[in-house]
Amino acid sequence: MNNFLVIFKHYTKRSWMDIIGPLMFTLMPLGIIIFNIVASEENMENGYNLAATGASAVMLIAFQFFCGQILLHYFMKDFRGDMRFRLQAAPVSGTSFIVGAVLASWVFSVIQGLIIIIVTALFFNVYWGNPLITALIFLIVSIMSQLLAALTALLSNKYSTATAISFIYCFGFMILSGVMIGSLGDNALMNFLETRGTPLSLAWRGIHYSGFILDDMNQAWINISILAIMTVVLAVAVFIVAKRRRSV
Amino acid sequence: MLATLNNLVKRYNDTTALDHLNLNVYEGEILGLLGPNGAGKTTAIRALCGLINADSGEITVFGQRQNIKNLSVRRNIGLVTQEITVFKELTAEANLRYFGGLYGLKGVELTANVKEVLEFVGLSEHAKRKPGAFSGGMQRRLNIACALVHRPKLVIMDEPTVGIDPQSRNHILESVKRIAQRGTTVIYTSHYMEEVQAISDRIAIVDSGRVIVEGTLEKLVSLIQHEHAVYLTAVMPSKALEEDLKAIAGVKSVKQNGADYTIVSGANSGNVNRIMEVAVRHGGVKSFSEAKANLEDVFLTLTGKKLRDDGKVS
Ligand SMILES: Nc1ncnc2c1ncn2[C@@H]1O[C@H](COP(=O)(O)OP(=O)(O)OP(=O)(O)O)[C@@H](O)[C@H]1O
Ligand SMILES: [Mg+2]
Repeated sequence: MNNFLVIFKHYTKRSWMDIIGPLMFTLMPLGIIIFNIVASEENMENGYNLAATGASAVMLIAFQFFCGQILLHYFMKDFRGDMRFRLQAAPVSGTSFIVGAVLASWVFSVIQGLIIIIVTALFFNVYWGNPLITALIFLIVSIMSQLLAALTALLSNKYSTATAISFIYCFGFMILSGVMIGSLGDNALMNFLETRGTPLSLAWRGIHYSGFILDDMNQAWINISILAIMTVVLAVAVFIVAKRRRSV
Repeated sequence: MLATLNNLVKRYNDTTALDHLNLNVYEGEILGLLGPNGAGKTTAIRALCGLINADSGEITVFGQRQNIKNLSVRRNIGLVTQEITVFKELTAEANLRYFGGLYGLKGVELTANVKEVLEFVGLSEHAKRKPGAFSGGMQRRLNIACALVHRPKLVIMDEPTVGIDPQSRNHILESVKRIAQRGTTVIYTSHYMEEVQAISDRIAIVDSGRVIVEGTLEKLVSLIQHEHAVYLTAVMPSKALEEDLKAIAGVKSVKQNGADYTIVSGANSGNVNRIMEVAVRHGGVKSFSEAKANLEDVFLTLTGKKLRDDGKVS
């Protein structure tokens, strides 16, 4: 337990010390949201700015996945380089390191997300749907993004490979969900991808289902369930891969 | 016996890093591990620290079987890695506090140990600075300190003096002696003969994944007492001279370094005259001397490998 706290504190400290990370992961999404507001016409409903509302949900979720790169960065630096010999020489299990680093990075990304939610709600008239549903989705996605990053790190031997994989899925989710370069086409597959095909589409639409915009509570719960199942499957995968790697 | 490595075999694809390596470590000693690049020193150390599993053979440390799952035995081992493994973005003190914390230290004990070890390596004044701004020697010293903060009973140093200035190097060698004086057992790996010779109580020569010989310096030297080394500086050094020297009956090895030649031959072979003759035939001799065998000669004789210009083994 003592070990875990030491590791958690260590990664928390490092992730906040590096000022570029915090700035990039909060200012970038906020910048994109502002750009969306400026670029689209005034579109108010129920006192909320719809352009900002759409962009905010998407950015919140997309940047949770980008936040996984913080974990990736430290993991690859510490456990794929020479540092790993010093760390593994200590009486600390690999699991403690992984759990400590994942939780530190998770707290970091939750705070980033909260900043986005609070700033957009207060200053940009963004509607965040049903608080319970949004909180649940946000929480599940934040955990999922850390697990996805952990899996990527565990499966990669090189820093560049890990970063490449993570960029591919981060941008892949945005492109396939049709939120980055627009819809990829009007057919069954594309429609599925844009509604339920990626964690990003499931999550941001889930948030909008929970309020007046798409207004369908059942759909919101379906999306939450799918996201939760994905997260559990990922957690099992991370666990299995972590066990395997230790014995190599 | 503090640790034993028994018949260790470790293969990486088609490289055999450890080839039935046997090594004993006695309590309180400084054991020098000397071996050329790729001899298997680091691999042996990693196995001893439980960082890798050997393919076969077994390791005992503090009476316990060592393997990658044994965490408790690590509490008493300190590993100074061959590469500098400190966090560049954290201060020297923060590095030490983290590594101490991983070994379960906390509160006043952690603070006291950190302070002591900073003093020990002469970095007290730089406690609040980040190692990114340190000189190579200071980084090396911090690298060592990070392995001492939990006061291990066994300290393993993998080439702790690579690439640093002579002053830092002496500081480190002195520290190793002081660590040993406190009763800590030290395993010291190096490329540098004179370091190993200067600080080790016992020396093990490692080559091609096995320990070729182990013992005190005196014992190793006595092993080749029948050897005899001649040093000469040629006026006109050439490959042909080297070849002709090698051709002399009784000459076991010839090593050329610029104009300097080291010729090892059997003692009492009366080769000095013949060596001179050959050298004169090839243009003459600027200087000439004979020497008793030292660790370098032991190494050359036993491994057939040369020393590098800088005193390293190649
Ligand atoms: N992880 C690895 N994968 C493949 N080969 C390896 C690995 N580790 C070591 N080897 C090989 O095993 C042999 C022994 O390497 P090792 O690092 O133990 O030697 P060393 O004596 O420490 O050398 P050096 O003086 O260069 O540090 C070398 O041939 C090396 O290339
Ligand atoms: Mg080595």
